[in-house]
Amino acid sequence: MSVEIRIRHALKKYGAATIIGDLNLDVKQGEFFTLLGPSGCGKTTLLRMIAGFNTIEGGDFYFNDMRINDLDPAKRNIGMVFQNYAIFPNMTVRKNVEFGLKNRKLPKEQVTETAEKFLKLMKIDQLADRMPDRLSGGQQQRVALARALCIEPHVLLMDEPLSNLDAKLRVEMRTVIKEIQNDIGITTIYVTHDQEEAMAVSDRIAVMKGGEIQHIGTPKNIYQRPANLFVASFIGRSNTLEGKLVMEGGTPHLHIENLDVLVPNVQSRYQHDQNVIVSVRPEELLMRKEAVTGLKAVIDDCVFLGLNTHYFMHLSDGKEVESIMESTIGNTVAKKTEVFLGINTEKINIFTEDGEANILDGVQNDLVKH
Amino acid sequence: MKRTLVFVLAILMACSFTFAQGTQEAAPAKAADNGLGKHLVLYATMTENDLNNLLKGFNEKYPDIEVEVVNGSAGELTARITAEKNKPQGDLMWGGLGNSDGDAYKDIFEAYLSPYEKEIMPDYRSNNGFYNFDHLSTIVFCVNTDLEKELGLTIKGYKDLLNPVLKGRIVLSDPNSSSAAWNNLSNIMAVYGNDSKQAWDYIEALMRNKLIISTSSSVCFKSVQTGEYVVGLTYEDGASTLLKSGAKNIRMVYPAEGASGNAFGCAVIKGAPHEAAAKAMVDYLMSADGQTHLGNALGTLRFTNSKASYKTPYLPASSEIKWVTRDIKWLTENKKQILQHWNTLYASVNK
Amino acid sequence: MESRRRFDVWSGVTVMFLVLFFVILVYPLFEILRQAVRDENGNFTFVQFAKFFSQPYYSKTILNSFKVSIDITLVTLLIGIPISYFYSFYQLKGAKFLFVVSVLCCMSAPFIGAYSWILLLGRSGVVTQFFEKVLGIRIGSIYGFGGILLVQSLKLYPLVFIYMNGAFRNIDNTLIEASANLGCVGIRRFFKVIMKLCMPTVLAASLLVFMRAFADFGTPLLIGENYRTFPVEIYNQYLGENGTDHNFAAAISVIAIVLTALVFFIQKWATSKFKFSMNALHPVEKKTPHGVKGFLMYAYCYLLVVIAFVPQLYVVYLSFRNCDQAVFLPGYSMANYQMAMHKLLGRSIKNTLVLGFGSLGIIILFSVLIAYLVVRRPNFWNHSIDTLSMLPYIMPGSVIGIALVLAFGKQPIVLTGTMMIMIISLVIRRMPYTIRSANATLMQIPLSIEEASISLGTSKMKTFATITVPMMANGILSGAILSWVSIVTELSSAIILYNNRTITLTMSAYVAISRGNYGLACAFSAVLTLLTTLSLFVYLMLSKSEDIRL
Repeated sequence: MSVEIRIRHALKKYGAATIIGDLNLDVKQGEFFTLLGPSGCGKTTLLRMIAGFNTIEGGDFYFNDMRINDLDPAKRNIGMVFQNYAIFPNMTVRKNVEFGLKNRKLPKEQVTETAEKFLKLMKIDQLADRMPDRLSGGQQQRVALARALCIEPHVLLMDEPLSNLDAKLRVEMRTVIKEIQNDIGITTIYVTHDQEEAMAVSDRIAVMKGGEIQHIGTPKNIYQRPANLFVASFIGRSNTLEGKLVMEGGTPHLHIENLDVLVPNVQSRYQHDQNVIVSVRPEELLMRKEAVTGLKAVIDDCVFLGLNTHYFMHLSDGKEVESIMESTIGNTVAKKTEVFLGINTEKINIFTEDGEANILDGVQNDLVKH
Repeated sequence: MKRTLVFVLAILMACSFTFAQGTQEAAPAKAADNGLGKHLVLYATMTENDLNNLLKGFNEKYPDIEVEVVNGSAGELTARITAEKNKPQGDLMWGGLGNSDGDAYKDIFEAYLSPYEKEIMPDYRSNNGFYNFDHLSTIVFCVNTDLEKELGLTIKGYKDLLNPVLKGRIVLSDPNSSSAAWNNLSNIMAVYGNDSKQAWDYIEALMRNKLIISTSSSVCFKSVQTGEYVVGLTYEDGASTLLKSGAKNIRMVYPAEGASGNAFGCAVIKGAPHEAAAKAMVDYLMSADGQTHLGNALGTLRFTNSKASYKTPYLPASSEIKWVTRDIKWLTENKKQILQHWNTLYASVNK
Repeated sequence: MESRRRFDVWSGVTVMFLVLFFVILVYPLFEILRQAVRDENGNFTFVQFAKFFSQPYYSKTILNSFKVSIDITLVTLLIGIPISYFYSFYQLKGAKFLFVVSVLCCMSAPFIGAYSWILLLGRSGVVTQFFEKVLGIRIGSIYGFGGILLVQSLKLYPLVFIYMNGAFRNIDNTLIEASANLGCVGIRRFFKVIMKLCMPTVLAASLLVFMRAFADFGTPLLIGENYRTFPVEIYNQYLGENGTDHNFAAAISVIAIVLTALVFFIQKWATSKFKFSMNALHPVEKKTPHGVKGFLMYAYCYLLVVIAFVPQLYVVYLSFRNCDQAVFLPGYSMANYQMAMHKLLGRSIKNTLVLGFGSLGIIILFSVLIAYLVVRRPNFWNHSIDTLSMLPYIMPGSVIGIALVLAFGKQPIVLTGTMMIMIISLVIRRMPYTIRSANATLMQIPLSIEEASISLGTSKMKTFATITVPMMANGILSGAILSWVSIVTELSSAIILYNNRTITLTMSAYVAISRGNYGLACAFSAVLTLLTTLSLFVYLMLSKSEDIRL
């Protein structure tokens, strides 16, 4: 049976250095939850603490109501999938998958039957009697998944399982993983540094940096209303512009260089004059050839990519920005052309000067502060 | 393939453990008809010939006792006995135990003397209470006659060994660990005067004539016979055994300046696992019967029991040899110092 | 996986090894140290050391050992590098034969070579006689410095051969092509490019050869005559009839340990200076040798290998000749073997196998467990175990023998004269090599495999036994077989520890030689050669690569 996971005040130290301090997290039962972040942010460390392969220096970890801090990894009933698959090289595919079942002292027929079921589920039943060195990366990862799932663990932990696969296979496999997880409904914690992958598979994502969670939310939340500048920059692509919030007659206006737009959805407590940082995604930076007002920019380069055209420009102060627009029929814009850019005020995000907080409405951050 | 190998390896290792245990248990075999047991472990420095004949004679008297022989030099064997002190593996030692040892090995040997002590010639009775001297060993040069002729020499005594033509072709074993070598060194002392300047001058001259020191005493007669060396400073038994087995190209030379011998013998090892059998062998070696039998079988060794009567066809008559006497007491007291002097001299000559 | 703070089964293993190593390594070593600083009355003194250094008779032995070892190293490099070069860069016919026979040479018992060369080139040796009578040339004596140099160089050059093979194999062909492009070919390229790239290996090989030559016991014992070397001196002192000699022997042993440790650390330092990695994406393409150059190449290789192997063959041949003590008589028979049967041939073989498999089993078990402790659970105690296990690197064989006698010849543990003490000695001597090999093997196994197994519910111990160890099997086995060969031919500590009941083939052969029973010695040596040859063939059958980890 799948469980919910609660983490309170988790502390991880290596010697005197604190890697993770006071981390809190709730994972719902049956949820596909991703830990996302750059290398060294602590996501794998946290995963391994949940698995039991890293020691826990402080805090409490619960599977449902059971505190698992002191429980041996072999007894936590977890299924783990590793980046390098970790298939036992001296056993056939079938024996690999049956391995965990054998440990549970189940009757032989049940072992064979269950293993067969998951081999079919992962579509590797044809490969059942092959040795691992005769399998491709994708096939090995399927074996790893089958092996982890067939023991019906409480939770499935996956540590960057697709990083070793080539791009196309990665896309294919992540769909497989999402479908399987959906079918079986097992609580899953997934670690990756690839934000596109995270968004494709997850129910919710926790973005981590420096051992701290920045934002927990659905992919949509995180992408559209990131909690801080880091999250905005990490997810998707983003142009970061400096600007000023100026209250004009009780209404917040955003000034970026010569651009002045009305911003209706600023949170009340942030409605005062201040310097701000604006995150404008390339698709929100509007480059229209015929525009005559807006942010002044000069085209550096123009790349036609089929559906979209990427415009690389720089602003008057030299800042380099990128805009992505649907391609138009007609000539592309020549280099060194002066253009005027608009911004989609609905979608941009505005942060305090230190980048720590999003001043707009609609930020949904499930980060639990206890 | 690998699996089977691992499996086989594991079985073999398991077996070897049971064996290892087994061999340790094999030693104390108690069952005895005459109370002497069935085994005897003999540590001996004597030659093949000596041992074969001893065992033959001994087993005629005691057919049930199986004798195992461990061969080595005196030094090797006493070191082994000392090492095994707390768990002795050997029962007795024969050969290499000379009358100038004194009390040196009191700790490892049993103070047992055979009942035949009074029959032993007075000069050769035990002087320490645990050695039983059963045979004599007189020093002798073993000379390769072919090479001697080739070099145009006639070697008669010590003086001839200083001939530069023999440079690097004279061999002696290490007096620190070989009783035969010590025997020869003692003789030089006796001939030139104990610790005298002449004695050490002679030794130095011999060393300067590139005297070769060998690790094994049998080299001093066997390798002479094969032509590796021209002269070996050795003892009667070794050289005469070669003559007995038909060697035609060697002869024994008793140094004209004087020859002497030591009494050598046997002793029961303290804590011997088969003490009774060991004592039986000591008794056999010391008895007139045993010595007569052995003497006749060998023909290469002189014995100490006055009642023994045997022929020595391979040894010259006593009257043909110029004898000198040794000061046993002086040798016993000064052995350590003599050896140290020898070592230092050797080091300085061979810088 | 991090080390648990809780006491689990592996902590128990740590404790077990700490206790074990204390008993079989630290305690004997301590005993030697203790004896070294005493005189015969048991008073504390440095007089033993003073005696050693003040008397050239003794201190010269160190110089002798150094001198001859350095020369041996240089000669082995001189003859080993060319043959390795030809083997690696040219397509030689019968290359496998050359390789196998070379390895056989270096795997043989230590003194068989020396003994055989005496029979061939001694003053009345077959070859000497031939040269004198037929060609009228007087060959110099094979005894002494020259003899040791000849015998050991021919025995140890395969180490250089094997090491350099590995190095040459790692050279990417594109490097060769690039240097040709830049105008550097032939001999110049050999010295400027190839040898420079292989420097680390040259260093590693020469230091290995040096250590082996320095600590060698069997060869100088038989053929050294008046050229006295260090290990033999230790042995002589131990055997001396004077009472203080145990203390003196202990003192020399301590000096031996210090010296060997020095060389060992120099080796580590020198190797660390040459740290770069090469990856042969394109292994070197072998050329076919042509013409005069080709002929010379073949001549050199085959001549070298044949000369090196002839002694062993000669010994086997002689074992079938009639012999009376030291004289070989005309005619052939099995007489020597029959005599060998009387002289405990059966027991020797049995003991050899028991000791071999017994020690090997223990060593493999220890290595695997210790590798796990060191690689997967690094902490202070496990690192101490690792360091302790390396102690035998710096203890010459004779020293280990003496140490064990001193420690286990008295209460509370008395083991002298038993199989146990011989097994302990062999385990101590060969353990470091297998542990290093096991460490290297385990480091290549990703931790995630063990974690996967644990996550699937297997206990740590069971994971180790059913997953980790089988994965290590390949690496361990190949090292094990070579350890087996060196266990079976071990001499320098056996000579001190053996007795009639625990006698091995090697010791039987040695005893026969030292008592002048040449035919008998040949018989034992032939059986020993057969055993090592068989073992090597089994190893070559199992392992695909020519990577021999020594």
